Amino acid sequence: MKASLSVIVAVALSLVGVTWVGAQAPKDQPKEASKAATKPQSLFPAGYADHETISSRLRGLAAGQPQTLQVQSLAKTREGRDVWLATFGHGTTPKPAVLVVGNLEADHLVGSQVAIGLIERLAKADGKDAAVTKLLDEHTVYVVPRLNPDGAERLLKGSPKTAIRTNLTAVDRDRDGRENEDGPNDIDNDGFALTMRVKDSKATLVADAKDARILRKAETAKGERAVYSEMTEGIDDDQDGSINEDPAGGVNLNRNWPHGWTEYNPETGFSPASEPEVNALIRFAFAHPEINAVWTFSLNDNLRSEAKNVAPTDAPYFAELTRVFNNATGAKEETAKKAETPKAEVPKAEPAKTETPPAGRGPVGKGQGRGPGGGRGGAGGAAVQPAASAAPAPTSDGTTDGAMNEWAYQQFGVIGLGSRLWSTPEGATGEGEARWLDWNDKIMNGQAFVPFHTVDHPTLGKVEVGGWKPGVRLNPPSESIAAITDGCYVFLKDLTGKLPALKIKETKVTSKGGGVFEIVATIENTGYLPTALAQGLTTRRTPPVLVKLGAGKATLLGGRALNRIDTLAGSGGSREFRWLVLAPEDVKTVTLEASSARTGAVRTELPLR
Amino acid sequence: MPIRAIASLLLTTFVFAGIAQAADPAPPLYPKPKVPLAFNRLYDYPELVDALRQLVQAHPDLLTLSSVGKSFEGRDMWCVTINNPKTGSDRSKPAMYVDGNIHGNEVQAAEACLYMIWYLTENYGRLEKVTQIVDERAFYVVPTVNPDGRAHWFNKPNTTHSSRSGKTPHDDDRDGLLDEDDYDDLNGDGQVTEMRKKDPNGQYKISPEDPRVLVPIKPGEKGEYTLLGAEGIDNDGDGLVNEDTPGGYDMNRNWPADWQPQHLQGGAGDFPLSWPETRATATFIRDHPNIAGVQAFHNAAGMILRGPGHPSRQAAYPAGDDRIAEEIGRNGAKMIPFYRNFVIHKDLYSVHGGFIGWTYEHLGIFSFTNELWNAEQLLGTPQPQGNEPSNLARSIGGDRQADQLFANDKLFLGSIYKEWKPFKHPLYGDIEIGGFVKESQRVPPTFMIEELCHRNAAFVIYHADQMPRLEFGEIKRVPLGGDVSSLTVQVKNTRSIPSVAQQAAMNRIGLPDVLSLEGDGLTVVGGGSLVNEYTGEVALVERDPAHLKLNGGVPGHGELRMRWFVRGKGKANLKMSSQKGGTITKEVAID
Repeated sequence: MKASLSVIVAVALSLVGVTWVGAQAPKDQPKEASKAATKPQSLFPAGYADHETISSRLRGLAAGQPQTLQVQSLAKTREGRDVWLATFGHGTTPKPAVLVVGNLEADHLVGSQVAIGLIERLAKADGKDAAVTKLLDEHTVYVVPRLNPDGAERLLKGSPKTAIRTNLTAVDRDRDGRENEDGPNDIDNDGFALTMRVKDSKATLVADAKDARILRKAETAKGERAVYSEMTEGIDDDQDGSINEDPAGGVNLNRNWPHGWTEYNPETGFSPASEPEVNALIRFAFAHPEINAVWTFSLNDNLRSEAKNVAPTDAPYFAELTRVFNNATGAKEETAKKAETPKAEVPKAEPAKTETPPAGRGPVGKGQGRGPGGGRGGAGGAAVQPAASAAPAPTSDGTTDGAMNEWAYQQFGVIGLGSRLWSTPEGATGEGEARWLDWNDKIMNGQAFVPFHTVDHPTLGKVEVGGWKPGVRLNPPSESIAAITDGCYVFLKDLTGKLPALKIKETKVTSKGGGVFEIVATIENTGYLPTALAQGLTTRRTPPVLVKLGAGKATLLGGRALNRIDTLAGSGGSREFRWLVLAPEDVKTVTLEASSARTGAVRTELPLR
Repeated sequence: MPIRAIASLLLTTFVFAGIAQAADPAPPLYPKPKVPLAFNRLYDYPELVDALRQLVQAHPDLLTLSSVGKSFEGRDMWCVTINNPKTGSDRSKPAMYVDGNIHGNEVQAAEACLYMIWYLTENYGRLEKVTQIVDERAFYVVPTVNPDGRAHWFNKPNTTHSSRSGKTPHDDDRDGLLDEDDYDDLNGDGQVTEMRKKDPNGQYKISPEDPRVLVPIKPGEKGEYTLLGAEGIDNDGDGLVNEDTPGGYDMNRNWPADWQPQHLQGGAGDFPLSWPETRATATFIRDHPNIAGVQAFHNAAGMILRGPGHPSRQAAYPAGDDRIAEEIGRNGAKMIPFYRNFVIHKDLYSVHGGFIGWTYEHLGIFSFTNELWNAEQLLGTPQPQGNEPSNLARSIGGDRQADQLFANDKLFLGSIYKEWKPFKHPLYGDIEIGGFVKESQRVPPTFMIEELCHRNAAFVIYHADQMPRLEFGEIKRVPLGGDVSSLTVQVKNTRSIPSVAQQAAMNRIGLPDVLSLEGDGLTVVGGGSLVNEYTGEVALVERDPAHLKLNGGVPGHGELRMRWFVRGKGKANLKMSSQKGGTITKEVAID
């Protein structure tokens, strides 16, 4: 097993060598950066697919390979769009599967680009590339390229273009009885609702001395006087004294999952799995126990660096996947961490921990709670809603609370991975905001960041409008996507090949005379991952491997007809079973079967005589 | 038959009544019911639906029937709306939501609901208090939110506890097969009772109190019997008996507030609101933000329960709300002897994801669960003393078996207990089968059902009466010179529940109450709450003073005083709108 593993890694490495040259070479940054700067780069959303494009590409792919690729609608969104699910595999019986989900957050469109790219690569290789063909003989790959088509469409085609992370479920954020009635506006008619800087009494910020495009907190203790407050570009559409306090949408589909779900926050939904997109997908997952791993493309990235809150016996598997992913994509680990080679240790169930809702309230809940309460005579006064200076900033950038990949591990009990796919602008220098601005200036020819300019605001007087265009810091120039997808494709194949696989390793039938036979059989997991992770045992979500002896007319003298293996360690973990049967003369064989809903079934006939 | 003919008929038999009627036809002391429903029995699902239809047909002016949704097996979850449209739509009034039978075997919950509908409609126009409540409030009554569990309890042999779940198939023993090893009525008597086997090495012996009862042996004593559990065989041949019965989950653990997954809370389901019944119920309640009170009926053991279900949620129960809920529960315990006023996690057990936890914690609705029927009532045996942690075991069998058997012999004339009888079991060989029938223990005897229904319905009506009831109090106008005047308006809540629960204000649940002033020729130049009526300090609002948002609503048995500064003359239309307190208006002349 070790040998074949290293082969996979070697293949992965060689592929990286071929596909990543020029696009992203982590080892020789400055040189590559200067190269990249000379190439024209398209700014998001140029080259990104809208819903119709995705739909027709999927339909085309499915029509080309009706035997191996099925495309079905998982759910209808609020605006009536289909959430597509692509199923890849040979044959009709479910086999150990990976589920890939992209574009949970509306503004993370790179996820759907990469997901579609993965489907296209699989479609192209299937039947031609022997390794891929074998992979699809033995496994199923489910891909939901775009879980949030409504939000994506709003970002791509909305007018004005503005940042959106949620779906379009109607939400009354300001509790005035109306929904979505005061979103951002395009005051300067450039097609975007960007950022507004206002010199007002609520100012807390000053322009940074090094680059006036960067605002920072005024150091009032040093006598520095605050100049600006910052908010989304817009007006008070509903004339309630607040600007942009109730924008269109919705619920963040990567915060609507039952693990670590935040209550009292309109962005997380009425309940876990309240949204049609999430509800359909969670039902799909529970109806498909063959899913052994879930990989989301989302802002909650737990693949590049060490996964948190993972049971000790599961951690080495996550570490190994991190290592493989970083090798495949050229990504750098965010925390210094040596990938350990996991031992084939039998997973142990951990003591279960109660779900604790995150302590913090939602973005609009803060400090606006108590009204008159129980006081008589109106003590406390008629508390009006404080003027919200801007739409609540997305609090969900990378949070684990209510995220799908966290749910997949913590509650569904399988490998749960999340990839952001792009987080650092290539070819730029500096740290943080300064690096992004350097990227804007040098690589993107200043197209990503609109310089702040003075505009007359209908109620606020002179304001400055400018800032980052929506989505440009989450979604790379479309030229980079092929290379990112290539890396993910290598990883997807590797991950799929790592799923557990059952084998009846050895069987031995010994006649004891008088029609009595002893049967000994060893069941082995030839895959890399265990048949159940420690978390799968804790949650009791992973179905046990059932080992059945079908003795027919023979009498079972010893051993059980049905045996359960809670988990078989990966890389050759095995378990031996022993039976004694009394078989009449006409019984020639017994049957042996090992199966679980997660790994599929293997069976054999054992001749007695 | 004309009324006079009936009167003369009565005259011939009841002389005294006849004389009184002849002089001044007074309403009969015990009026003939408009809908003659019996409350000394339980109704299976079709009978229940039929009873609801009879009520709705008899009272089309007050009742409407609608379906909240369909169960897994396709039965409607019927809802009766009680509302007098002449006094406004149901959605414009504070409403009481009542349901029952979420646990399929907790059957009498539906009769308590049925009775309440019957009682309110029978006495509308007859009893002043009933008329007022029906005119001012709305009721949504869903007698069974688990019709599949109910149907299964009535139609199939069951134990005294089984058919609690809904009927979505579930693999309890994780062998890949669904619901494949149910109980079996081996002796065909229509019941699933107990199995026991004579065994010199057994851990039980015959009780000296009653030979039908087995008691555990003490160290050194000789055993006589082994208990083999509920009647059944190993249907799927896996060596286990009755290990995968229909369903196998708990719909009262499937609600979004403090929901915990299956391995932390048994029966919780895959995710909150995962079953058709819970999802439909949640959608209905969400779509009716006027619901200001929730009552869920269960059985058994005689408890009036309120949240939190788990100690970790205590912080979500602000003291101001809990004081009011405690008082309502305390009065309930007085109204219903043998019932105690309990907090779930303190006095019963800790539980996650319960229904009334959700309606209070996430929706800010004052909510109770009544556990109907306490077997202690049967013989009037003394109630448990003080804060004894749980009387569940005591009241439903447990160590009171001898008393229960006394009742079986003397009160039920042998009808609630199957005597032990020999049976040849395919796995265990010679055994005996016997024990209590399903319509005992958790379920009241027929002769006590009506009392149970009335006392609990009265408690719901009392709770409904405590929902916020808003009215305008003192209104004072003071001319300030020129066309400027001040208008001070008092809004009162004459009931104990606030128009916005503290819980709701704390977590920004629902819409705030709004007090507004509008009128032709009038301009509101400022306003806010009157902080101190002696100094006249007004906490001015930042903007839109004509529409004052009251995040905390009007406290229970409390008031708010707001002051406006108005320019102009004319009619001022005052309006107080509250999601849970209803809407009231008043016209004031500013001249």
